[in-house]
Amino acid sequence: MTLHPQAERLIALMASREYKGFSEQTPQEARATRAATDYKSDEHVYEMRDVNALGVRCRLYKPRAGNDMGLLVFFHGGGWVLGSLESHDGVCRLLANQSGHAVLSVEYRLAPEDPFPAGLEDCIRATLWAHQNADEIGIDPTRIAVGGDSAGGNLAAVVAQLQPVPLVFQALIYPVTDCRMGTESYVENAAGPFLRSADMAAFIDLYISDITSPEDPRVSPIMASTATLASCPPAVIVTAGHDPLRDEGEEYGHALIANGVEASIVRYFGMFHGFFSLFPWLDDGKAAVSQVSSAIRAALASPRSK
Amino acid sequence: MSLHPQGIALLEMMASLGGPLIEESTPTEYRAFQATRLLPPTEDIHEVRDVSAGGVPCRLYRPNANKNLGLLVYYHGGGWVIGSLDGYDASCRALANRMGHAVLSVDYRLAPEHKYPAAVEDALCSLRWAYDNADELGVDPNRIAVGGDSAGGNLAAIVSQQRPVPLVFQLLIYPATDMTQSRESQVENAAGPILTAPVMKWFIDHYMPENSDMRAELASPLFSPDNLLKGAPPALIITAQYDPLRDEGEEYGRRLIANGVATSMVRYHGMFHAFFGMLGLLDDADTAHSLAASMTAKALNG
Repeated sequence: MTLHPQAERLIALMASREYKGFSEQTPQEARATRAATDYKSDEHVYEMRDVNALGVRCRLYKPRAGNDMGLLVFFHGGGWVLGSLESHDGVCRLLANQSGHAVLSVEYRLAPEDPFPAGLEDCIRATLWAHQNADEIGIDPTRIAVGGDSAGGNLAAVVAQLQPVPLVFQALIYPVTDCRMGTESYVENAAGPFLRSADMAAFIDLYISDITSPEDPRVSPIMASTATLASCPPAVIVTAGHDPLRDEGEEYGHALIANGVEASIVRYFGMFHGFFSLFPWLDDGKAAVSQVSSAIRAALASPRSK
Repeated sequence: MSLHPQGIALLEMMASLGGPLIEESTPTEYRAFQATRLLPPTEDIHEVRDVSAGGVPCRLYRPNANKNLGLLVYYHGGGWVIGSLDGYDASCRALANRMGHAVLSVDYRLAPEHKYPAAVEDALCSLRWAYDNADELGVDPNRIAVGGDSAGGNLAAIVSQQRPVPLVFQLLIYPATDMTQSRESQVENAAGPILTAPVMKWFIDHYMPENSDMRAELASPLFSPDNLLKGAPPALIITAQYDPLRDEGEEYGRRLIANGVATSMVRYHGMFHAFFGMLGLLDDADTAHSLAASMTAKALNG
């Protein structure tokens, strides 16, 4: 299967700018490189403000006035090492506007300075805060979803298993679900584009080395018991054809389905890891944001309008 | 098989409601049965009216009063034998509203009363008419896309190769591209759900005259020569995991890509043939409409 021509052009552009793979840079260099290319969105959102969620910096997006909407708690990607509120600002704006629900983007602590479970703890804290402060935020505490891309999808899947508050939906964009790195897509897409298997190995090492095993379900949610999987909220899972993480995302979806959870699994064949947040340059990214927003819109709809 | 739980529930509900098997019915009987299973309109839209597109009955959907909309010409599914404007009303409303562009749903002639290539002729005729009468439809003739599901995807793929008028996009939902029925997914999903090998045979037997060339370019777009694929409009192909037509749809996408056509391919795991039309019954139908509308609108925005 070949890449979509838009993806090919974007990859060529990245190559012409001597874009370095993560494993060839220090985490600090990689953060600076990524931050320099953060997409500045001009999408208008009714309300945006930074909030302190039990010590975790977050950004709240509200698509309209009112206190009758659901909330998506969003965890950005970046291998638990990179990424920020800024890197995913554009995608959060679109998710809020297109879903019609609020979004809370979480700036959880990053490895290697703060390895597992610091980031996960922050995600849980932010989710708890949102639930406890639903009135103040103007959302319905019984209609909270989690979501994220890549490492953020990993955090969302784990939070959805731990359910620190009742969660009604999870949106997992090419999530890491299996830190053992043993799937076929790891071999097939070892050289990327964009995310290479070596990059994933470096990310996983920085996040969990010497702290826990890759078989710990808190880092590999696919290792959870069937009872835990069965307790998960409905899911939408988006994967990319040319992505080392393709198979584990789809396998996680099928594991949820096998345990009776409504999981929608959608593969974008011609795409590579990262295409969702690269929506300004990729029509498939825009379409995927629409698809996921549509799923969130329905999952978080008020019981009255369902 | 790991079908989406909503899919399992829906199939159980359909089974409990009963109804004739397609392959044991006559086309007339099955069409009459389908007419009793229509869902009420799901959403309002600015304007709906029936038009005659050069003799082909069509229904126009306009989401707003703008006189310069893009247009999606849509061919419904139903194996060239069944299916109707009414059966696709909800889908066309959703596409038009979500795209912000017009949809022209085409009531092409059905087999066995009108065998191959009558449906293709009507598909081409209605498209030419829409182009020539763009003013009357309130659309821009240079921003026309085609789309369809299943047999309608077959027609949309064929007219995208023939291109009687300039086209900016093709939306192919689990299209039939290979009348020889020789892909792996035909075997894997021979028992369905919904579309089974006997049903597919019933469709093709009714549609294709005896001793037809099953690989002809107006029947099986998958086998057309490269020169018909080169220059075809950009495509979105949506497939379903548990669908006999899965592989021929994806194979067609690979052929388009090999011929330089910007093609997006999206597979819904856990879904089956016809899921797209099940708006209000399957969440995946809803998200697939959003995805299709988003990408088609991008092309129609110009």
